[in-house]
Amino acid sequence: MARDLVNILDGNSFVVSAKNGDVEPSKTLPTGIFAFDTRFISTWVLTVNGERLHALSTDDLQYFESRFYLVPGEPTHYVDAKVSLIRERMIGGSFTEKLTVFNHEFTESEITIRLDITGDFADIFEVKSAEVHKTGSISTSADNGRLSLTYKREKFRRSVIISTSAPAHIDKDGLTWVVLIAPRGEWSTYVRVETRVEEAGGQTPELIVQKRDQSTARMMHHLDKWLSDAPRLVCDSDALAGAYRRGLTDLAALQYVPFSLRGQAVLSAGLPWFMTMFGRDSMITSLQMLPFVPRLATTALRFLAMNQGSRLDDFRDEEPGKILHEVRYGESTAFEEQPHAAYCGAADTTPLFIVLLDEYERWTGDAELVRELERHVRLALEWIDTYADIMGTGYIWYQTRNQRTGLQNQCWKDSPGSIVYRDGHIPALPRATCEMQGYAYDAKLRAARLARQFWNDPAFADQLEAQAAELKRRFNRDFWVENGEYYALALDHEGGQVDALSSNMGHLLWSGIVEQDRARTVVDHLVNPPLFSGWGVRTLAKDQAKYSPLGYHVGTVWPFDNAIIAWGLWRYGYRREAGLLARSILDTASFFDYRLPEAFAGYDRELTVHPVEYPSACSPQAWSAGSPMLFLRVLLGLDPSGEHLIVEPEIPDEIGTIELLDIPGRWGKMDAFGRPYASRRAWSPPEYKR
Amino acid sequence: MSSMEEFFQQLQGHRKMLADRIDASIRIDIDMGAGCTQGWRIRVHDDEVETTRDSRDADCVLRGTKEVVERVISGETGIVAALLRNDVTISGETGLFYVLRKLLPSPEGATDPRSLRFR
Repeated sequence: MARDLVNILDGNSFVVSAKNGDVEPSKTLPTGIFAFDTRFISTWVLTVNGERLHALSTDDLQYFESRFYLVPGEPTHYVDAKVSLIRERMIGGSFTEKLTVFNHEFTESEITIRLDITGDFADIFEVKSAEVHKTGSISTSADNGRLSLTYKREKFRRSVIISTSAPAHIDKDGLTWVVLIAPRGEWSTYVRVETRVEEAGGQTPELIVQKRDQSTARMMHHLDKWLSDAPRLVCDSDALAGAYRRGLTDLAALQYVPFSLRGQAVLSAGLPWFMTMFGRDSMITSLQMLPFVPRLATTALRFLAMNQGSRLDDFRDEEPGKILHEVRYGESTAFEEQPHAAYCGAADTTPLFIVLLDEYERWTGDAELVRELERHVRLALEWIDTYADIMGTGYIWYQTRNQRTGLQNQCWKDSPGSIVYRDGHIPALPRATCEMQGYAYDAKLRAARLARQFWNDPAFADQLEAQAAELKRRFNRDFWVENGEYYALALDHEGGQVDALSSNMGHLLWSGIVEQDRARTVVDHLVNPPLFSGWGVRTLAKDQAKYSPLGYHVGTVWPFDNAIIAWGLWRYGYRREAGLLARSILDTASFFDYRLPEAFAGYDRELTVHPVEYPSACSPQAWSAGSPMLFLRVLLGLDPSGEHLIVEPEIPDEIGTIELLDIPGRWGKMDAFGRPYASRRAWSPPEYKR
Repeated sequence: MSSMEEFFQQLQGHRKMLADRIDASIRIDIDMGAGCTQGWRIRVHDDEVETTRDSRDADCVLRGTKEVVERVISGETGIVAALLRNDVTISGETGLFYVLRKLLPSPEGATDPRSLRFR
């Protein structure tokens, strides 16, 4: 998110405004008051005596509240304000703004305060494409001391109600207060904005859990409890401590209640574009959070199981057994202009579902959920072996059957130009990216453990293990690029190697599909240029034709990607290299106010000194917020073994001592302590080849 | 026989492998016009699906016009999308709509992704 914007959020509701708190229609910026993938308010502009307001300062108090200190008029070299304002806002259920106007004169003053309001009810997809064309109509009414805006299209209905505590003159374009303020006095009012998802008759559908209004104190109480329930971190590194606390807070902020879960929350993926449930993002974040807040995984798994694919549907890229990609609630989804109820255009979510369930049981010992989801896992495994294998070669492939609105790339790098050959040209569909095969391998082995231990089906377990071994053998034959000694990014439809050097290879270490004798070579690629920037592993190596430091999936550095790679490095015993990634990414935290963004630019570290922001990166972003937690796990070497928690720390000197207290799990609560290398033995970082 | 009756009858007695182990009933109230409502009740129990044409209580009730329900049960429109645009409304244990979703057929002409291999 651009830094000249101020946002507050709560679940899937959020407000994005300018530094002075105003919202104006923008072609390029997602400003407005949003909920359920709809922009309810597109203009929210405050004036005093006809003058726009200038922000002296802005406080981001909590994720759900902010405060603006304002004076009328454009700033000159000095401000001689006869009037000033404090604008305080919070979101929690509805959106509330408190306006306080100060009269600095020694005489009584009549002051006119005006709030201009419009609602465009744009669907988030319209906002994203900067083209808002409404099929339905908006009606406005100003009565009973309220301004109501309602959007109707057939039976689809969204409305917003604006009310004020101090009486105002209300017209269809906003609210006006004309007030007499005593000498050196002040005046204030509360303005409340209630966004409503409605049935045709105006009532709330039972399906929607409309969040009740929360006071700031109550929101604060929830946040404090969330933070104090999580393991306590005591460490030398300010970056780690800051990113941990910020990440935990952001994950509190991103929780929302979808319909069908009876009040249990799932995670939105990221502000502003992904304020909804994404299968992949929620599972990766749940994995990162297992040692911290395991119940995020419980709700994610249940929700995804309930919504598992059950039929063939080309529009939604749905097949039996497949785990969904994305859920949306806006108009374009309701009228099937977009496929997001629910869209299944992801080929990696299904194996990840199995991986998460197994890892979840290893941490929590929740055998009941493993039994509850047995059939879902069996269906998921069937999907891997049948529908996913488009080319019949034993791999997971993807190719959308929805030509108009389906995703071209159905792996985590899901932008159109992300999967490329070394020379920059784009392979035809279908494609089989490497990391998905790794997930499938891991899923089979993990499902084998579940089958043996919980489903009383050792024959199935044997079969899965044999399949996994065969997959590993084949994969290492088909994806290994001999002349470069790395794994190809993907296979093309003819089975040829899409030979770009990319970060995807790092995920293979996490999945364990890399042959032991190839691990060293793979690791060297990951922690050296042209893949490594000094701040982290780039999505695409710098010497590839399509590389750009600002290429969304072809050059930027993603904290979550690096955290998964660090997990993989640890798995293969490369603890120092894992530490290097942790340290490099955490070094960026202070530049981003400890909030790791979705992605940042792939420039060489020496060149920029500071990490350079990716212009439209989402922030907060769930799996970036969860990345410090995964780095913590890797640094401390936390792994469940039976009923115990193993702690085997390997921590770079730059990070220093780490204590993590009250780690929840099947053991109850446990503490982990780790001291850095220097206090043990000397070590020099891997040679930084040019 | 109408497409509606056909749908409910082919569910009847069907041992549908629903992944979700559940014992629940869902009633679909179809507004036939002229103030006339037709109720179909689906009970899922021990993997067995039972359908009856009646208006007894159910854990979850869905309502829609004949035209909309026909489109939903033929797979032509998505049930979740229909809920989002209020073409179908739901009451009771609203979360159970996902059970019904899993009983619905593929839209006509839907393809298996593996058929792309031969294009």
